[in-house]
Amino acid sequence: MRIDVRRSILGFIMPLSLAACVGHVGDGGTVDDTNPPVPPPIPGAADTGRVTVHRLNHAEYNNTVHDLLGTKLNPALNFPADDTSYGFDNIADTLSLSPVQFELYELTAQTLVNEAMKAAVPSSINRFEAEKIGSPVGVAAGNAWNLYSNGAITVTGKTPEPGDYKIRVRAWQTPDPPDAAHMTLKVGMQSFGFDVTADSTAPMIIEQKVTIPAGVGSVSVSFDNDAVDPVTMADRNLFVDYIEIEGPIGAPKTNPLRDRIMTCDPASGGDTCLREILEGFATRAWRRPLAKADVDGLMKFVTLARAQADTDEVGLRLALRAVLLYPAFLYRVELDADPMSEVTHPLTDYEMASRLSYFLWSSMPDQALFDAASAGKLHEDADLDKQVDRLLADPKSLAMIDNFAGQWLYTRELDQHQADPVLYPTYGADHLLADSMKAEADLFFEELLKSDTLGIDSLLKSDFTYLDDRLATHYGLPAPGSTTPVRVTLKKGSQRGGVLSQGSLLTVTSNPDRTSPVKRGKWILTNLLCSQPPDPPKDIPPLPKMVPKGQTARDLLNAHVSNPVCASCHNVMDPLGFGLENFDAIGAWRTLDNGQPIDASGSLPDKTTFKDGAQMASIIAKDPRFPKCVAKKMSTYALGRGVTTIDAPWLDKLTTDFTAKGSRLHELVKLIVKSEPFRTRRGEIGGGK
Amino acid sequence: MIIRTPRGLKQADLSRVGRRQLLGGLALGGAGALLGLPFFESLFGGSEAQADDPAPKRLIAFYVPCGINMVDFTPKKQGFAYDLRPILSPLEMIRPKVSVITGLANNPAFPDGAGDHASGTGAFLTVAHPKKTEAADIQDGISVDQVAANAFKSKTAIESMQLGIDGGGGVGNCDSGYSCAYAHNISWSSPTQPLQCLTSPSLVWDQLFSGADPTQTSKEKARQLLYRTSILDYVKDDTTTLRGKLGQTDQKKLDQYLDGVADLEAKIQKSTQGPMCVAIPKPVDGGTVEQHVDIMTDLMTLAFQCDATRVISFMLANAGSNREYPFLNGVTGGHHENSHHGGDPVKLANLTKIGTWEIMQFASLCAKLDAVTDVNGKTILDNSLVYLGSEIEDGNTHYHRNMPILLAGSAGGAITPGQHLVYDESVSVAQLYITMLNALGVPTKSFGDATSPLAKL
Repeated sequence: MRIDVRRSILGFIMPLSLAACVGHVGDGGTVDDTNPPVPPPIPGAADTGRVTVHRLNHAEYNNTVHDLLGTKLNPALNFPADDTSYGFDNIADTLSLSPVQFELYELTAQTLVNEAMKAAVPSSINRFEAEKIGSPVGVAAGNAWNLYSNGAITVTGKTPEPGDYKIRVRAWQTPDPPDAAHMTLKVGMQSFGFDVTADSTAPMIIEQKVTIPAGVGSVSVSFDNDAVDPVTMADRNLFVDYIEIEGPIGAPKTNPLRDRIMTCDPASGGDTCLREILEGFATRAWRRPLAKADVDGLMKFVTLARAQADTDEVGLRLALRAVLLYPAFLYRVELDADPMSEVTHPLTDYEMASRLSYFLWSSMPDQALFDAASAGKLHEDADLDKQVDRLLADPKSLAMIDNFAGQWLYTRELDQHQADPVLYPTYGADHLLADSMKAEADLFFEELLKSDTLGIDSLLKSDFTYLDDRLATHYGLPAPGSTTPVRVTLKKGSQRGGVLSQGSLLTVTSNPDRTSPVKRGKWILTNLLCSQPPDPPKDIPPLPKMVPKGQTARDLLNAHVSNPVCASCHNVMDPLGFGLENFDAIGAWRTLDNGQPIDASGSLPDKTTFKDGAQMASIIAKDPRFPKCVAKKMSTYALGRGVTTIDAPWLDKLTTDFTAKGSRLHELVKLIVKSEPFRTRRGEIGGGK
Repeated sequence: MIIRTPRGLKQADLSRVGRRQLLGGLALGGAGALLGLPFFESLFGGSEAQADDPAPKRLIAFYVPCGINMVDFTPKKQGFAYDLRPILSPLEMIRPKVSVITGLANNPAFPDGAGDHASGTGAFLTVAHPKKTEAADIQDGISVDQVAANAFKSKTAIESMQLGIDGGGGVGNCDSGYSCAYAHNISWSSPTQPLQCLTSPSLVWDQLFSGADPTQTSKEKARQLLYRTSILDYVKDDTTTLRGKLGQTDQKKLDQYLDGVADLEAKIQKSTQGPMCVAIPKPVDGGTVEQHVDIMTDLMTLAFQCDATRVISFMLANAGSNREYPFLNGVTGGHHENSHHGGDPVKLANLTKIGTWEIMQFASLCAKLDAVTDVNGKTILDNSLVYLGSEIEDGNTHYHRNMPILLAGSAGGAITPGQHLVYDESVSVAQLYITMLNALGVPTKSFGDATSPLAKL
């Protein structure tokens, strides 16, 4: 919906004298409450929009490899960052792929396959008889080797796996007192010394535990202090019976990642089994059924390896790497029967499975979703409702909190936020207070998302929150007696309750050293009312450099009001931020700013007044644009595309239905999933071959 | 995400040259740490190209955010005897090899409305006017480093590298309606294709040395190469088929994928003909910002030393960075906040400290490049151009004229370094880019908003 710029944010006509703002507005001269316009729909047909082929963003890539392979690696953490638009980093149009990123996908596919296919190495004991190994020094002596001079016996050969090993050497000496024979055990670069005091009547077994890194190829035993007594003719020699290597100790007996892929044994099952393995893996990785030709294509890697006299295992791993590099894995591919046709058509049930799982889990479908898709049970309203309930109940739905709420409510920003350590020492370099704030925001949102009773107005005013002792103390509330967050019921009239009084939002919309009513006001406009404030003009005259003594930040910002150019826009942003001035730059309650009493009252352009933040929150909660904005934000995230003017009719209907259902988020998820834009798609002119 | 870099990888570890140069008896730049490390056969290439190209010319574009406190940057004197203002003091040791250039304008960087940081960063190397959008319809120009990369791409395994320190991300549009694509990238291979920065030292190392396993026999190596290529052939063929079933917007996305395949294929092919190059131990990600920058400049030096690439762009931070500098004595508040100084002497002093630190990183990179002798007996710095600039002039005014610029090296003697050159604001920074491209041996008549090279340089 487009709003005429001359209307104020709350829908009232701005005084004409303040219309200077129009001058800085971008292209169209209107403040678009959405984003760039798209072409008009074809007359007569309801256009439900089109989602571009969607590269998995980094959160989705990590979650997908976790669910597909069982790995705990997060390879995408180091990929070049995803770009953001419309407030989210899962917008298909914006997600691009650079050559560097492709190269990283290729490297990562190999890393992941190597980890997943690594065979478990059972612990074993290998004994090497010294007389069979021999040495340039010494001579075989029965079942042992006599090192009669300084020299070494060396076992070579690659240790199969890095890990912990026990190395045992059975040895004795012929003595030449006072010193005993000295033996050095060398494992790669590590060495250990021993005195061999035993004689042939009772040989000693020396045991050494050692951690062997990858690629170490040798273990040796050397005799270091050969001696002969010229008087007694006592001859000190070292006799070595054997060297025994046991390990790897404590290594897992199986590799569950490998077991998940190897659904049959190729040694007995041959090509039929290899085909089964590849089909099973690629079906899950590509999130759709495979054609015979798909499996044939992957089997060519087995043929290739055979031609190189390599094992089938090598060929299988190559095929798995190819699966993870193929676009059907890296992108969410949805097809149109006719890519050139703009006629809307329903998605397949497999495509619906991915839309659902990536919306609610930021990950691939699970087996139950695949089974439902296979049974054709992902297009009826009732089936979709049932799946939403199931997916939201699964712990994987925490992805909605990290990725949707994290970007909408800015909680993700807390990780990087810094507060001035001198002015706000309690914020803490250890970031623990910030962690408590994030936990509060996350748990609060989770309850709203899953609640059957709480409506979206609770986002702005609630009688509960989640606190641990640290955060309760920060808020000046009684500590609940817990170091982990617990649900706390707030007293009537509490300063807290709702995101506008949560440390998380209040902190990330502040500067390190002071509050920013402008940032707070802008966040409310953009994220609660979906009303993008106009751009500021160029060459903004600087505010006074320091807050003069005896003045509040509010006094300083009043400069915005005294300058008509500033006032036209700041009159709609700043008062919203002023309402939150009782919260300092890390969200603690305050009544003074710079020694002066806080004035948290304000008036909106229609002269509606509020006395404090709580009253302001209730005004916003009643604004009809608030539920619509929530619906729009979640739709944007669910579809992975901008919700633009073309979507106005169904967004209006969605909002009406959402409000009619008690404006519960859980219900909103269901309404979006059942909406036409979510379950249909179309081609576009200019595609195809 | 927090990036950690390792401690302890110092200048000396880098001062090694390939076997080819070693056998030729050329100077080693302080090769104390050479001993004890195995020679790795590298992935890179162009031994054929090198034979008729004895002294490769190279380019680094080095970006710093939020402008510069110009009062403490601009030398009072012009010409070769220019004075070092406080921010430039780290250049003392290499001043004869660095020019200061002031006065040039980047007019296309002026945004539509607000958004100077994103728009200035988008135009930083393109001198084109970035389209104000936060959607898919981004539009900029090709960047000067990519013009050079296109000319040099047949000679090295990696066409060009884009490195940075900050991750991207962030919530909302990046700057007043400008896409993050403008704020997080300075290299553009085409007006619609930004090239993203790599910030992880270990991944940069992987990009440089992947497959460089010293224990592989040449037969095994050839077989692994065949396997890798076969996987790429497979995905290429099947993607081409898939592409034909998609709409045109989707096809553009898959074209990026296919470009990635082609680039990697070219890199792998060149890896078979590469000269010898010594790998340094794989760095571990993590550590402080200072350590992170240090290892990145090490890797840049190594990339040139190994002739892995000849073109690098580097972002010391993203556009309008509000990074804090608690390790700089007395500096409080974020960089961006300080840059809106409003004439406040405290903020200006902070900016001078931050600027000095930034120039120190630039000087350190130049010193590293100057410590390595190239095939023609000059240093790598002498044979290269290392360009430094920002998205705006001054953080308070958001001005896009009188841009702060340093240019180190001489592209093998093609230009004369070591001067302070002053231009009036009618001269475009794009004219400097034309001069730079010509000096690098890339004949160029027009670029950005300019159609002639710079006078005087």
